[in-house]
Amino acid sequence: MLRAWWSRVRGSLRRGDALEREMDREMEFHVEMATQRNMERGMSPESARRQANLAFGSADGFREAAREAQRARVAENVMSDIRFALRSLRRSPSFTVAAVLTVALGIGASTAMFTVVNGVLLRPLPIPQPEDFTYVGWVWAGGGEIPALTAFQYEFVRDRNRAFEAVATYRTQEAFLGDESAAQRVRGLRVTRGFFRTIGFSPRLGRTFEARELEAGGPAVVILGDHVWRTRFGADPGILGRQIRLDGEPHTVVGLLPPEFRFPPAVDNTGYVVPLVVRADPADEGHNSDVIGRIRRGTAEAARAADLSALSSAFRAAYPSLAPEGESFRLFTHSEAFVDSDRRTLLWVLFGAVSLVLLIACANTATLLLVRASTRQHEIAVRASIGAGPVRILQQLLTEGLVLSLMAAMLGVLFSIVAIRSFLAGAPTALPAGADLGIDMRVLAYATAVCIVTGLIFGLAAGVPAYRTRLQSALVGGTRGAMAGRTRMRETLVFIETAAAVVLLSGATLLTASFARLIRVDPGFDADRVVAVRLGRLPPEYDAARRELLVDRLLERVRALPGVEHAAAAPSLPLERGLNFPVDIAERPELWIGAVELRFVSPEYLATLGVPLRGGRDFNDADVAGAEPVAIVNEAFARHFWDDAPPVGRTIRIGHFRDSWRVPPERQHHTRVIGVAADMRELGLDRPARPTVLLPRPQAGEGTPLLLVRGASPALLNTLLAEVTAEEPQLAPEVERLSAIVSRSVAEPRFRTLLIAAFAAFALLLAGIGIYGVIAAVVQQRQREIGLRLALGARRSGVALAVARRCLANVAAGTLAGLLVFWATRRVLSTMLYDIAPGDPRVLTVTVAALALVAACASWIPARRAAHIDPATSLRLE
Amino acid sequence: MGDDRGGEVIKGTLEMIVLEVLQREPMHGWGITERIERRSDGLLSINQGSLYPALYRLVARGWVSSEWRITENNRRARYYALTRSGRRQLSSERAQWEKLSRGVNLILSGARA
Repeated sequence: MLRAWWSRVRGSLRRGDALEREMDREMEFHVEMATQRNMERGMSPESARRQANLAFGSADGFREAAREAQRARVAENVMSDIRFALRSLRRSPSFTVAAVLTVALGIGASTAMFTVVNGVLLRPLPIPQPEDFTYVGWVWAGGGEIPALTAFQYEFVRDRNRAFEAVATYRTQEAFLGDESAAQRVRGLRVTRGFFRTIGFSPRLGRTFEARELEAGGPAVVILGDHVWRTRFGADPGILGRQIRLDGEPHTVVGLLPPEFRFPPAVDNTGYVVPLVVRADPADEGHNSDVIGRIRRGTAEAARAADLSALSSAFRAAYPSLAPEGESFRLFTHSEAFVDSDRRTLLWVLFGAVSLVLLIACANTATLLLVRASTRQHEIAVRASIGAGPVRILQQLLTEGLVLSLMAAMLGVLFSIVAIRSFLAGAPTALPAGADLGIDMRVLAYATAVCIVTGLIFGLAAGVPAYRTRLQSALVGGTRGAMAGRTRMRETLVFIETAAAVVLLSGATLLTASFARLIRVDPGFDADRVVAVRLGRLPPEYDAARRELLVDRLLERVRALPGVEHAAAAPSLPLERGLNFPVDIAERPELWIGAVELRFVSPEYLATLGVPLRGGRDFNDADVAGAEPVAIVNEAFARHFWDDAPPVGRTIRIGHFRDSWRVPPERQHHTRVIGVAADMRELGLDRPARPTVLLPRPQAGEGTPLLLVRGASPALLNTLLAEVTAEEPQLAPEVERLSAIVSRSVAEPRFRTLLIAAFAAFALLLAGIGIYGVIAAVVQQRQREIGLRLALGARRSGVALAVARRCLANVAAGTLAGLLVFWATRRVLSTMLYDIAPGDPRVLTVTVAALALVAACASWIPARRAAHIDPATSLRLE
Repeated sequence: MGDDRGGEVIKGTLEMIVLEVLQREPMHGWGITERIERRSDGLLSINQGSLYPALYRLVARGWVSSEWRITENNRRARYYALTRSGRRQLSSERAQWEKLSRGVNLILSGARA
């Protein structure tokens, strides 16, 4: 129907001229015939013609009238329909505001969410020919996969593949750029040969790296990023060949990157690029190389897959110990590599939730439109009686729907911009850093599509019942047919609204219950009054000995501060990623579980975190390099390897893995366990403690540690900053309370719970309004009948029930349908839930109860009004 | 809608009359004018300024179709013909008209008595 309408609109525009010519010809014919008759009646040719023309009226007037009639269905048409729609919307401002706001919120939220999905999952990489670009990763035999390879696997793929034009690996890093005094930290990349060909960029000035520069011990060279070149080197056009310092080492500038270079796009790594030399040691089984490749243009999907599976079998055949049966290479898209599947699921779930909100907003507005249509019954009937056909009236209602949805969409896009801002502010971890959430063509296309679809829904919702009823009969008082049609439509809408609200509400209740359990979890450590001090990168002149000295002196200073109870050095914080490493015991090699958590810590580490020692002793100042190697294990470790037999005094092997040592000879020794620590949830509040081994810093410590300080003083944060910079002015330390870190670790569940709960609350509100609207309309329509019943002695409660019954039956059916839909899709949520099953009956009971409460409130008001109708007044109506 | 200058034909009945005329055979606009005047013994004369808009309206509603044909005098003219739904429309309008005119007659004759 719409297509026919549109083709008429288009046709009438295009055919305008032809129509005009036909009309002219027809008019000419008529005038000639009239002239002829006048002459037959004896007039002179001139007066005969004049008379004929006169009888016809002015040519312009005729054309105008004819044209108007010609396009009766189309022409009064689009423009006048729009004018009419605006007029009629202006006449009922409260309806218009309510409808536009509701739908604008729906469109705004869904556009915002789509922008996020688009920016994170759909938008192609900002590199040339992104469709040929891929990441190469690995599939484990036990399920699971990782979008990275070992250095050894990388070399294998690089040398043996057929489908790739180029393969490379890269690493992001941070370095001090410039001379010692003025050095600044800049983020950059280390890359292997083939990197520039793989991503499809080449330097704007100068060249890429030469073969000898990519070998170990080759000349130190650097390619500078555009921004660094402008800000740090004043856009010096003679920069090529100049020597600059990176981490104190002189590097020759050989190239300059184009300004649009941004890779990987998530973080700004574009300060500089230096060569990366990969040491491919088969014993290094860490999947630490991000491998990227560019597939040869025009390689078919099948050829690509065949090459990859050939590579996998060749690798398994050549190195059976490194690749058990069932493990293989796999290609990853950029978004797969950067957005793990949990986050992808979350984004789609949020998008689904927001679409349900939009659906409810639309259904609700359609209900309002229907209520309005019944008050406009008379207007429509009049229009029908003066010649507007049902199609013509439907066209008008569709136009009204579209005008409404267009206003809502414009406001909605504004909302979405605000929503994206707050999304970014509220969801630091739900998105990869620096994801580009701009509004692009795809987002606009989405918003436009949503706008058109909602507009059509509105028009059809109001128009179809009108269309179905014989409009001619409406004037004669036969409004019952139209009324029945609209009531049916409204009840359908209530059904849809309820079902969608129940789906959202079930999800929100589950997530809330899960989150409540999550934050009540005892993490095993006491985060209160603990402050973490990150020292940042040490200046380049620090070697290992000087670094250890600095850490010791800092701990000494901090422990001397008033109010400080304990202080310790640790490589990483609880709930942040730490090191893992193979550890097992010599007596039971079959118990090995691969890598366990490993921490190099100073004495007092456990005391600072408030973790009780279950046996043995803490490290002390005697556990130094050269003394007997000692370790503290946690209960999870003891349980696994010794089945809860007392571990103190037993020995463990650090760096022994699959029948061979994976550490240099000077470290191949047995380590004695001197203590057992209680378990703490270091990998996340929702994950049980993993087997963990603590080693004393002086015996193995590497890298810059951070400091953990337990103390009561409220001014501790600033004091700590001052103490650190007093000791070493070049440091840029950062301090943070451990409680903030704990809270941040649940930021994502908190965020998604709040968001979905907000959606559900909005949905519930709208569903309530919808139920209210339907029952209120029924009461309005049946006022006389109700009055009559009451006059005949019906009980008021019976009347109230009768009014609400059909609507509430639809609510019940909608609730059931919503529960079924939720039940069918509940698995989607399972990765987001902690300690609660997605089909938990208690949760579903809460959902139904909440909905029943809202439905009861929403129907009570109009039902009560029905029960209190005064028969005398209502019977006098009309 | 067009302005029935002269007002010879009651508003709203022109379309019915046109349908009635076209029921016999397809006809061009001029022919319709002549036919109406002749069949009403000259009592009804219609204004061309409202005839054509009415014709186009009928075409737009699908009750009448139109095509260009050659007249007996070898001139090109646009002929209008009744469609199937036009026929239905005519019979329903006729029934309504009869009801209306009977009612009006009754009232008028009652008033005279």
